[in-house]
Amino acid sequence: MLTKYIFVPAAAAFAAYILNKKNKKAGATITALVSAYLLLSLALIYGSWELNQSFNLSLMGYQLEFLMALTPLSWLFAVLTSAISLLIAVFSIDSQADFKFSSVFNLNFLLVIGSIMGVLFARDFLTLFIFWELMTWTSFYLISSGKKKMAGRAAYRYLILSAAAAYSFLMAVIFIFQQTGSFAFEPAAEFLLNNSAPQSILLLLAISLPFWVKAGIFPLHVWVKDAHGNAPKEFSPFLSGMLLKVGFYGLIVVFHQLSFFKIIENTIAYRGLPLLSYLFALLGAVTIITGTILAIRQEDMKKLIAYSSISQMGYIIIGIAIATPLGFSGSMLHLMNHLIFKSTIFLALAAVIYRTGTTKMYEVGGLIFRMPLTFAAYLTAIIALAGIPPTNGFISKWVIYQALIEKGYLFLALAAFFGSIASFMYVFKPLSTVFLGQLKPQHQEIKEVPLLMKIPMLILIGVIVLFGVFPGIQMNIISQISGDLGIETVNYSLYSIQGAFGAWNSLYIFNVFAAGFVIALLVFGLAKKSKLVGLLDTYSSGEYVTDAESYHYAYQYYRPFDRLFDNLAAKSLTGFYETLTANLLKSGESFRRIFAAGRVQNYALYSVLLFVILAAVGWII
Amino acid sequence: MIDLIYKIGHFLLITVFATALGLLFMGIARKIIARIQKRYGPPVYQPYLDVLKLFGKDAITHGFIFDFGAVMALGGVIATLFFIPLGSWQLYSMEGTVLLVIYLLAVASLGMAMGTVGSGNPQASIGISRALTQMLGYELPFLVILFSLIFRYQTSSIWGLMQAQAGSFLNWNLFAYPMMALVAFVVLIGMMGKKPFDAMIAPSEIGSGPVVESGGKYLGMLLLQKSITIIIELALYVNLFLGGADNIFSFSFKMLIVWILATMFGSLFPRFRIEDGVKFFWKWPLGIAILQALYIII
Amino acid sequence: MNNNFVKGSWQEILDWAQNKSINMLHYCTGCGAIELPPTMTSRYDMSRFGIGPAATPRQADLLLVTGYLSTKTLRRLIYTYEQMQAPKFVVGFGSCTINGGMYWDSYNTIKQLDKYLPVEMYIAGCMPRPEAILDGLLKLKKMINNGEADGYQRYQDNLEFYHQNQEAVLGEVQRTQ
Repeated sequence: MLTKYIFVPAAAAFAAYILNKKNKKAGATITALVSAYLLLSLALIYGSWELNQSFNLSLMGYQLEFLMALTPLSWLFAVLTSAISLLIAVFSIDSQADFKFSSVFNLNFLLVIGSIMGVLFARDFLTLFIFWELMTWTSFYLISSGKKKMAGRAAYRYLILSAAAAYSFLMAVIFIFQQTGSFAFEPAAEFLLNNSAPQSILLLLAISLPFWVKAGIFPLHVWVKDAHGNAPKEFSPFLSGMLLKVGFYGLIVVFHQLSFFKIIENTIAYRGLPLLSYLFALLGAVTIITGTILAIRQEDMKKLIAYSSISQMGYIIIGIAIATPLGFSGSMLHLMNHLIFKSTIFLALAAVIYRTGTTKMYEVGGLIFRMPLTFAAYLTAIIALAGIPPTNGFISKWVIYQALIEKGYLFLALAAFFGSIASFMYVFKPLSTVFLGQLKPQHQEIKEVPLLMKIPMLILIGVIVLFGVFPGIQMNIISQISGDLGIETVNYSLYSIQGAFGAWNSLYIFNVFAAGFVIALLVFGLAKKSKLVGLLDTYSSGEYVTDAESYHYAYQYYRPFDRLFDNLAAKSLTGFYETLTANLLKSGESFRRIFAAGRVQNYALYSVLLFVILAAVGWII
Repeated sequence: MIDLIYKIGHFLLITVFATALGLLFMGIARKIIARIQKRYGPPVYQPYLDVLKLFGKDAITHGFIFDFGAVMALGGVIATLFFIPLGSWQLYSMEGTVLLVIYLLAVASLGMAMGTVGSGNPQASIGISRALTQMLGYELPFLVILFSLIFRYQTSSIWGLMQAQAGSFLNWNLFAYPMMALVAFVVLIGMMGKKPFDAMIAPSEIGSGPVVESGGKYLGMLLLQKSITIIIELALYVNLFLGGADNIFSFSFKMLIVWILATMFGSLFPRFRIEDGVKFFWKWPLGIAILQALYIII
Repeated sequence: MNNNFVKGSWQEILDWAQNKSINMLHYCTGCGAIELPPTMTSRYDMSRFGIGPAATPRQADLLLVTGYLSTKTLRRLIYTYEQMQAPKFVVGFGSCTINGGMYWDSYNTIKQLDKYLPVEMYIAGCMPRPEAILDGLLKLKKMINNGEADGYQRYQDNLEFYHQNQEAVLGEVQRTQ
């Protein structure tokens, strides 16, 4: 039964809320247990793709049908959701004291999980809409519960964008309902296919708007940075890892199951790709470039990684938009891998914040000597993010490159290359300023995080390496998804993937790496042993260094590079939206001055005018 | 078992050969630069002596990350080396190699960067910040070139790209796409950190940047890493633009020619500021590379 | 083949390599530094003997003290010397490092460098010409090759003596080790 995936978390949410009042750790423990249960039972229904469920409801003369079904795509997303929430819940057991309202956090967290499950299994617009809104609202509360001052404002921006998009979704859906008399996906897809193409495209664009917002694609990415930066540190991994991805789930549903790609198939094309798809991919390219350039400038570690999330979303949308077998598989691989390494990064940073209490990178430093495991987790994750073999991140990027070169999309490839090379820059900044460099005097006594925080990080390190060597595990489910969506599958085996111009073989890479490192280790080990000296004993042009704090290069790490983009960054899109809001308020004000100035005579005049107009219209019709 | 021993022997042989050749090239470069400056110059075998001396010296370390960085830097380039065809001599052939090699080289850079920043010296951090910025400058045109080459010859293995230029020397990409070869040459100079693009190791400004804290065996390992990197980058250029070679001798000869030219160009220019270097790479090499790529894909 | 022999001959090889490859850190304290550019560039070119500049004390083998040393710079010099890795050599350059030279009665320069750091050899002159410098460095190479340049060992053995002298002029000295 599929409803249990929604109602078990929902019921547990309230249990967690009540029990958490008694014991601070109860809520997180319940979240962990529920996620583990969801994960287990999802594993048991793997492969039973015919599973579905429906309810009928008669409301005001309308016969409403709620449909739910299991597809490979929704199964994958559900598994990812429950797995990541399990890890986060285990991580957050020990950090409950950091919350303002920890019971509310657990309540909302479980509700988010339940509503995501509802979104994933929904097969009609109404169910989708209800759970989508529930997800938006609960995650809004989660973001605004961050300790920072800005958290409320950030969450507000998120909510406004989501709500505006949701209205467009609702209007399009009601229009379709008027025509077909049903909210279900299949009749809608049929109707849209047979309808006139421009109208269908417009409707589908309206439907997909909330998904674009959630995925954080270029003009709509403005909420991501502040929401990530100000959300509670335990929720950021989920926000970046999962919540952004639910947007892609929606986009895939719109593109394939609501046959958006079939509708635009015969429109004008560029290199075999419909212009609209190319436009989407270009949006992805712009997303990559903006996200990257802004990430390099950040001084706040969570905001930096948030911008990096934006740029990585660009890769996924490019692959989904070009919709070749390779592109789609690459996107799905990257989606999964991004979830894994980005939540590792956020967890590692959460561990740092847990111990030091700051998110500014220049306020910490040299933590490697105090928190080696956190460092190891961060290092593995950034190697994956930067796409360096032999980790999972390289494989997905490699597949996307192959897809782009295969079709010769030069500008998309250029953006992808740019994002990938520049990611070395922004991932190295926290590595260098938080974990390496000088240890601050006030952080001398810091200890590694407790065991329950270490375990999720260790598991994630293992998963990164595992998928780096055996991408076949991921390709297995991806091939089922693409089979389900009617996309050709890519040839693969447990440790190799067939690209357009040759295959990827991770066992080779692993062997060679082992050989290279063994030789280097031999060279290192056979040479004379070296003497350990302190961090302050460095070459400083003969000057004595006593103050570790001012001997740490961290603030404005890439100033020369930033100087190239100062003009561009000054014209931020957030500023544009803010001007828009201000102008809107101003025009509303003048509107009010004309129509609602408080003079009764005017109101009387308006009502008479309205009556006359209505009468005239009625008479004409 | 025999197979394994054979393979291990092969691994070691290639490593030793590339290291020796790289050090020799470095010696030749020092001689050439000396002659351009009207000096006599150190003997050609000077780098070998330097390495020997450095491994005999004492050394200090700043903690395990400093050690790990040095090992990762050397291990990364050795691993990369096994994927590069040297003449007809290649250990691992994989069809997707050419993109892989770029990223494998990044392993070494990351190792070096991590180790040296782990020393806690801010000058090292400045050097690394410059090096990474510059990397973004030169990798972009280079990847666009690879894009057009892969698209043109429909293979992404270095071996395949080399085979595609077989036959007369007019098939070499140097003559087939001279603009591309020129761009790649500029990129090569940037990759090797030669003169106009050496702001990241500026010795008198930031105390040689990334290697500021490395002495003794650490500097020795970085010297070995540098020598292998030179061989990898030259071999990549020769394979992609000079049609590779049938045997290791003519291959080494081609590499030597490219190296001498790069050294000569490198010793003629003053130093770019870091953002000017990036601007330069994005203006001329990238522009030309994009034009060439457009010509190929249309 | 006994172990000592192996060790001994390995040391000989290292000494030989060391004499062929010297990276020098020129600590430009005084006017003597001006003699180094001609020694390094095309007129005299010391690189043909395998002597080249080093950027930091970590990479250097040879510390060249070029001229008078005020007590203020001595502090930095000691710090720099201690940051260098053994085997390391110190060469005093010009008469100021031998007996104070023209600053023999100055209140704030030190007169005799080898009271504070173990000097392998001096190159006399005010200033020594590049020929003299090259001659001195060639002698140093010979000393290294024969295993006679053992200043860093003398420093370790007589640590007490050197520290006492240093503290006598400088007061408290911050040390790296």
